[in-house]
Amino acid sequence: MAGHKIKLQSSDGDTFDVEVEIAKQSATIKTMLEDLGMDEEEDVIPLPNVNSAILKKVIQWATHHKDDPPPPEDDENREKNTNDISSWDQDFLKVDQGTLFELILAANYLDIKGLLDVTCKTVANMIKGKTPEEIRRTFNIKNDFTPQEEEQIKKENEWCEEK
Amino acid sequence: MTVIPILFETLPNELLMNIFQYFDARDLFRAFHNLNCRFNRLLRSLRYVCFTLIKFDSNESNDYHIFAPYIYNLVIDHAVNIDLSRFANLHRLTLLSPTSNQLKQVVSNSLDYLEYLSIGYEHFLFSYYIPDLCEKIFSNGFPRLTSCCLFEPRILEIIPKFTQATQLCILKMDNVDLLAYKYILSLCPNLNLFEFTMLNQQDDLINIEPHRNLKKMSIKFPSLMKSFSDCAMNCYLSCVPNLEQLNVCEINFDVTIMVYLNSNWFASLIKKHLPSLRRYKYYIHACGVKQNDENTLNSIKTNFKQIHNQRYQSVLVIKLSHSSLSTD
Repeated sequence: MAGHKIKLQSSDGDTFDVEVEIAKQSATIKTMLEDLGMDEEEDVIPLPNVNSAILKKVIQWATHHKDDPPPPEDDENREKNTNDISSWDQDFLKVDQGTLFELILAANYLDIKGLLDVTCKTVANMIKGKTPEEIRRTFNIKNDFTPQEEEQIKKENEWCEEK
Repeated sequence: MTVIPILFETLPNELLMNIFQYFDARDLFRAFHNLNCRFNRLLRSLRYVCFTLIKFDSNESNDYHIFAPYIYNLVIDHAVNIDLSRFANLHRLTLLSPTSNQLKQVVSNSLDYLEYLSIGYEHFLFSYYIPDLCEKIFSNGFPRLTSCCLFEPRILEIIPKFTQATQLCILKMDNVDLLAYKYILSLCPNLNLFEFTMLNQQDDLINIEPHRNLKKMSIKFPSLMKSFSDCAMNCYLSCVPNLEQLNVCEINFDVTIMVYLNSNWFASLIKKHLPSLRRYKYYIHACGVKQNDENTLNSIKTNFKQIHNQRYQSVLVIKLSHSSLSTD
């Protein structure tokens, strides 16, 4: 039914009224609605893994993409492109790293393939062209190698620096 | 309440793997190899993941030894000198423009995990290794090979010499005539999918033993073949009684679209020879069509539907020079 709404509740207790067709971009919510018969306006769907700020962003993304065709099935043999992010999505994803990673977690939990794809592509683009040391600095990745391993790695990593 | 920010490293492995999919092997290892123990473990586990695609550029140095053992799918599109023996986990290999050295290695290396092999056509290639390569492919020389794309026309000259390739299930080739078709069906008794470009129209009748395992067939008519008669098609369809899916693709230049008005699209042959057919797709790519007459196209569509809308799904796709339409 066009315009029919449901309520989504974030982990911190806020509720959001969302059109069913928009919410159904999440396969998780779609399954809840269909399998549990939760289609009444007063039914509240709890989403304990998504906080308000992120849920608001997810709803914004899903609203913008509500008329998109379904994303293509994954093909393991197809090379994956990261240059096809729309300008709207690029602007939408100009956020701090923490928000970006939370969006990835939310897209995964809510099973929204389009959002998961575009957020993972964005992270991939942040990494491409960087050396391991730059990546370590960018993402604050801890180095847990022993000094002996470190020495060996320096030799191994020489090929990365020879670009 | 203190909110702990989400860091890249706190993402679970499945999501890191998801991000890894957007890198080719070289970039992936450049970025993540030796970052820390967890990333090294993740990269090592990739030997079981089916996403790697790699292209070597001829001006790149031989720096692939670090990640070669993890490569599942290797695509080589330049004449590069590469040591295939380093790719111990290779399941899929595509040589777009093969060189003699590459073919030699495919012949001499065991490639125990290879499931898919695609050999492109290189006009300038003069290789002594084609007969040996054919022998290996068509004599179960690759223990796991089930799918092959062979666009090297000289292969067809050698095929009659072989006896049986029992493991091949999928085969794609160019320039297949009726005699080659007969040999291939006989050579590959377990073929499930056969896709080929027809070399020419041959009306001579040839007796072909029924092939009962072939379920899917795609036939492409090259642009020089203006039309294909039922008589010629009869031989191709009469020996595949269990076919479930048939695709026909026709590419034509300077064609008058009116010629398709009276076509029966092999309906009588399908009725006679293919009792198990479930899906039939006819694809016409007509280039240089001067008039785009909607009424004619609609009549063709209606005609196709009336003829084929029976016990199987059918679809006609017509792509004209600057427009396209399809009907289900």
